[in-house]
Parts: sequence; structure tokens; C-alpha cells
Amino acid sequence: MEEAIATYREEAGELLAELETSLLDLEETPDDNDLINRVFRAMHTIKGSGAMFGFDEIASFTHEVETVFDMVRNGKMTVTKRLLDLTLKSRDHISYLLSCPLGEAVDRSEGDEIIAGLRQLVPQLELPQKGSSEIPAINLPGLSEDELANESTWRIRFRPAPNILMCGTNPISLINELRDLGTAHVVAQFDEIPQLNELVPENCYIYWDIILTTTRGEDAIKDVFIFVEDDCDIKIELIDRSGLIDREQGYKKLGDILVERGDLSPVEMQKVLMLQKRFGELLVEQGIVSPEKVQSALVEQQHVKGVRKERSEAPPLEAAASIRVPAERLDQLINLVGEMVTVQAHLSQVSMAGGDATFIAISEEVERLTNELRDTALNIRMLPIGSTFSKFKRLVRDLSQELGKQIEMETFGAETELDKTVIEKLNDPLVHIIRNCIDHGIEMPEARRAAGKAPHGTVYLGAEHSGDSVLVTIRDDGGGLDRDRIRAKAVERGLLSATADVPDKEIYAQIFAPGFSTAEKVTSVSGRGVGMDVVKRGIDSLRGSIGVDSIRGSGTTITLKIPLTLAIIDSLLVKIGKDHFVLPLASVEECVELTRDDIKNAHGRSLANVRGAIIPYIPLREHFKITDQRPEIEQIVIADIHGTKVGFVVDHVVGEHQTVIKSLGKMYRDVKGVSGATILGDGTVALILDMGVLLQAVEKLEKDIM
Amino acid sequence: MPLNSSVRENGEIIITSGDRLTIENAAEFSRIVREALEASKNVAIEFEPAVEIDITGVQVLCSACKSAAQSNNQFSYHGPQPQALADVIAKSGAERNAICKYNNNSKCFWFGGTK
Repeated sequence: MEEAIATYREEAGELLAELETSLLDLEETPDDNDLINRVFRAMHTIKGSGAMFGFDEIASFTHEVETVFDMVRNGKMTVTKRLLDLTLKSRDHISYLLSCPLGEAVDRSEGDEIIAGLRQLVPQLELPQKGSSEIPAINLPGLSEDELANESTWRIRFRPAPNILMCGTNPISLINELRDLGTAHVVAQFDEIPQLNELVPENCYIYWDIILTTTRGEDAIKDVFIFVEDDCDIKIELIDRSGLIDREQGYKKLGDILVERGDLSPVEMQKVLMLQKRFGELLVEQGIVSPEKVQSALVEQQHVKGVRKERSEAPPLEAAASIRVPAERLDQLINLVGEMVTVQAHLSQVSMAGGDATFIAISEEVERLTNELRDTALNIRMLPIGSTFSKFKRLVRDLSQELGKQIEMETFGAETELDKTVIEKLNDPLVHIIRNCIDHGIEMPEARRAAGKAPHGTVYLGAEHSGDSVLVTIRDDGGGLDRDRIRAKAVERGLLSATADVPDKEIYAQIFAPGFSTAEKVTSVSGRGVGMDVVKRGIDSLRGSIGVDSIRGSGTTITLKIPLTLAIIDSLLVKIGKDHFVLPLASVEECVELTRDDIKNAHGRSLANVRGAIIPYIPLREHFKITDQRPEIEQIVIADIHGTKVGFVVDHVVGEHQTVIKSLGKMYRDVKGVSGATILGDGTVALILDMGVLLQAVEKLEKDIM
Repeated sequence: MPLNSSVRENGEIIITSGDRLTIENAAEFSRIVREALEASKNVAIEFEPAVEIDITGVQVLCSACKSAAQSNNQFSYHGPQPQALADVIAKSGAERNAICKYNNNSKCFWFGGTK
């Protein structure tokens, strides 16, 4: 049961995310019936499953919100901003209820407020009293939860109240809702339509037999009739379901169906059977059952036969398209793959050293398989970044309301995939950046009008692939950064020299310095100079980089370059003295030799002439204070760091390497220029170098000396 | 043409559907058809191509068909069946391919059978 509860929590979380997205989209297109239905379905599933697993608070609260949305769905209410506000709050409240331990007391105040708000919107709605422990009955005819997931076929006789049409309800809409639940065959029965002299034209005389095959359960069917059930005669019977071994591929005989429906008595059936003719024809000929009823029963027979045939021909359930796996198991898989990559590296080393051709061939085959396994395992953890976008849409919506601004969010590249862990860690930095866009970037409507802009601002959030990284772009069309003010503040804080000629990008980068803020006032949203520092640290921890560009008056663009995965990277293994180091291969462009003569000819400057281009380099030996004998010929690994070509001098380039990233312990967390470590095939540890930070550190050192 | 009826030289009464046969004018439609069937042995509907029809329209047609069959009158339609009628028949599951005992065991040409 605990496992089932955990699964419910997980699925409800996903449904809440979907609900939020749908509600935010609905705000833009309030007439979109698909979205309205999606909101209703999400609520309905959360409610139904909640009641099944003992989340009574969730079930009763959601039932009330769902009821309101059912009215929207049936055209009895329209989508208003107030309704969306309340429904978004409901989503948050359900999320809170979901986080509460099962069976413990919960704070109902927020929920009561929401329901009171909904009551005001729908004053005629009779919502059940909170706290009366009325949980909507999930009336399931003895089905277990597993069976519920399976397909069932239902026989429904829907006999509307005569005045249903006068009340504004269209029975066809209800039938269409049933059709939406699965596969339905509908037969309208006309036998109660009287002759014209007795006809009350506005009354409904038609009633319906519906055979419905659905995976949704009886509750979903009952919900279709939720607002008419008191006045209408509705009979719902389960006539077939999967999960049971079908006794036969066919289905009941026509006579049995009619007897079951109450349209024919067993005695009459026997009497007709004695005549040895086609049963339906005989019934009609003898006037025992109307042709319509026979036709309806035949429809049922054909429907269930068809469903059973399809089921028998369908691939087995084991071939399900997807399965749910706990994230921890995936993490464990990645760890094991990481270990395997390390062992495989060792195997390669040993095989190459041994020189045995067969052994080398086997080792190469293992390497190929390991690489495939690594890629497949990493791909499993990839999620579309769009799953987080709706959260930010909500953030923009709520904050802009709070600040009295008109801001909308546009997103692109939601399908771009990133490692699950990366997406999780990206959340906080994105929240801070977007909050800043809203608070400091986008101006108040009056200011925008005065500047000749549309009163409503836009925050763009997008993602796209770029090599082995993803570029996440956050752009606003606000006032842009004040270059001079940032510079002045940076000079005041000693971060920049007052006289130095500094490119704009470097000035803008100062906003990420700890405690840096040019805001004149601190708001509840931002201005304390804390947020962007957090962004920088967050992105650094992802081994990513940040770029800022801004045009005064037009807006600011912040680009985050994030590696696709945090687990295993392609890298270049190098050696200095006895120590190995790892450089991320994505930034490496080429390797060139550096001789003693080259060093001598540079007259003490760390510059190399590479095919006529002067490339500055960082001698890592000196940087890491390695005192072993320097080789006659060293190697410069030339890398592209944010568009700047920089060399890193090492003793030897060992070659390409699959690096399984291990984080450094607390002791080494503040070491600049090292982003992690990896274990090599022979068990030794190699540090992973952060080339961007190394470059910054060297630049800072040179400035300090000057 | 509004919902109306007219008598032809051969005594046939033609009822023009107008642009809607829905709950709003169901009573009027029912009355016109009833009076037509009382006055003539042969009554036919001429549908406007874009006529709107709902369940009440379907019920009046069925009721009229039953009434006509009872008195051995003819109740049919001229020209093509409008799309709206085909739609409401399909959506409401009103297709009838079997014989109808209320129509003297004839096939229902209104809701699926051939005319």
C-alpha cells in the first residue's frame, strides 16, 4: 500500500504540474474547451485516486473545485480571472495537502477560503460543508486498483427527465462526454415518442442505450451525469472487462442481453427459441420486442465481440510503451555505469600494455558496449526542460500582479532535453533571474508608455541545444541594465578599476558579485543583492557559464550555458609531473607543442605563436606549484572560453577520456579552478579543471600585480 | 423561407423548414405538421440546406412519421436531407436501419433507411 501511496503522490504531482500549465494557458485562451476538459480531468483523477488511497482531504476539497469546473465544461459558467486565481490557489492547496503525512491533521483555512471564493462565483452551487467528512463515494463494483487501470465495457441506459431540454441541458453533450471516455456505441430509443396530438414538443422522449468501453471506471461515467442524475433515470452496468480471462472471444447471445436489460422475460425467450428462427427476427415478428431494442442489443453484442477480438489480437501487456521507475534507481544505474566506465578504462589500459591482440579486441568491444550503455543510461535521465517552464509562468503571473505590472511570459524550446539533476539544480537560478527581470527589468505600465513601448512587458524563456550543452536564454524587453551605474558601483566596491577600459560584458558581469545591487529600494522581490550571487554559484555548480547582454531602454538577455549532464563527460586526460588532470573536451580546440625555445623567444611572457596567431597560455605546472622536472617539450591545450582562445600548458596529453564526475569533499570545495575529480583506470584520482575559473583567477592575479 | 406550409395543386402540403427546427420553434413546427397531416394525405418537408436541427426537431419528425403511419398518410421530404439532420442523427445515435413497427414495419427513411 505504501508503494501505491508513493505512486499516487508522484502522479498527483505530475497532474498538478499539468493542471498549472493548463490553467495558465487557459488564461490566454479562456474559451478553449480542450484546456477546460484537461483541467477537469486532472482534478477528477486527483480526486478519484486520492479517495482510493485514503487522501480524503484531497478528495473532498478537489471534488468541490472539480464540480465548479464541470459547470464551466457544460457552459454554465465562464472562465474568469477570479476563477483562475482561485483554481491556481486550489492547485497550491492540493499540493500542500499532498505533502502532509497521511492521516494527520491538516490546516484547512486556505482550503475553506478558496471554497468560500468559489461559492461567491457560483452562489447557487450547493457545495458540501467542509469538515463534514463527506468524501465523494468512489463506487467501484468490486474492482481492485490494478483492474481499474484495465479496460471495462459498460452498458448505460440514460433516460433523461422530460424537461431536460427546457433546463438547457443537451443530452447529446452528455453522450459526447461519454464518447470522450472511450469507445462508445450509442442507440437512441424512439418508442416513447408519442403521436403528434400527444406530443409536448419541448419535452425529451428519446432515451439512450450506450455501450461504452473505457479504462476510466464507473466514477468517470457517473461524473458525466453529475448534474442531471437526480432527475434522470440512469442505469450503469458492467458487462465486460479485461484483466479477466475471457471465457470466450465472442459474447452473450442476443436473448441473454435482452433478458439482462429487462426488455425480454426468460419465458418469452424460451417460447421464441422453440421456433428455431433467427432470434431477433422472431422477436420483432411476434411483436415481443421492438426492432429498436433488438438493434440496440445487437449493437452491444457486436461492440463487446469487437472489443474482445481486439484484446485477443493486441500485443501482451508486457509490451507497454512506458514504465514508471523511481528516480533513485536511475541514479543508482548511472553510478553503476560510472563505475563500469572506470573499470573499462582500466581494462583498456591493461590490454594495451599487454599487447595481446585478442585481449585488445575484447577490450575494444567492451569499450564500445560501455559507451552505448553510458549514452543509453544518460538518455533515460533526460527530461524536457519544459516541465519546469509552467512554474515560471506562474511566477511571472503572480509577481507581476503583486507589483502592479503587466507582464507575460513567452517560452520556446520546451522540448529541449536536459539531465534530470541539471533541471532540478537550474530551478533556483532561473527563479532569481526571472524575479529580477520582473522587478528591475520590466518597467511599470506608465513608464513603458512614456518610453513609447507597449504597456505590457514580456519575459522570454527559452532553451536550445548547443553541442554538448544547452543554452537557456532569459530575455526581457524592459529598461536594460544601467552600465554606468553598475560600473560606478563596481568601482566603489573595488571590483573594477576606475580608469580601466573594461568591455560592457565584463561590467554587466559584476551584477553577479556577492552583495552587488544598484537597486535604490529593497522590495519583497529583490534588491538585496543576494539573488544574482546565488545564480552565479548555482550555475558554477553545474559547470555552466553565464553571459549578460543588455541594451539600455530595450532590455536584457541572460544566457546560461549548461552541460547536458552532470554525470559523465568526454574529456582530455593530461599529465603534469606525476599527476593527471582532466580538461572538458567540449572547450578544447587543439593541442600544440611548446618547446624551451618557444618559451625563451617569448621573453618571459606567456604567449605562443600558433600559425601566426598569438595565444596567451597558463602554465599549469606553475599554477599548481608542481616542482618535478619539466620536460623538454610541453603541450599547450588550446581551449575556447567564452569566445577567447587560451592555452593551458601541460607536460603530456594522454588522450581522450570518459570522465565519471565525482564531487570534491568539503575540504576542497573552495579550491578555485577545480570543479571535481574522477577516478582513473588504475585507481588514481585526477582533478577536473574548470578552465573558465582558472582563466579568471590568472587575469585577476595579473591585474593585482599591475 | 420561414417555417411555413403551402398546399400544392395535387393536394400535397409542403412544409418549408426555415432556418431552424429547434426547441425555440418546436411547438410551432409540431403544430404546422399536425395540421398538415390532418388536412392532407400527403405531407412533405422541404429543408433549407443550412437549417439547424436539434433533438426536438428529430422528435417532431419521428412523431409525425408515427402519426402519418397510423392514419395511412404519407409523410416524407423533398430534396436532399440537410447536413444538420445527418449530424444530429449521427451524434444522437438515431440511425435506424431496421424496420419500424410504428411505421407499418417499413424501413425508416428518415433516420437511415432508403426513401
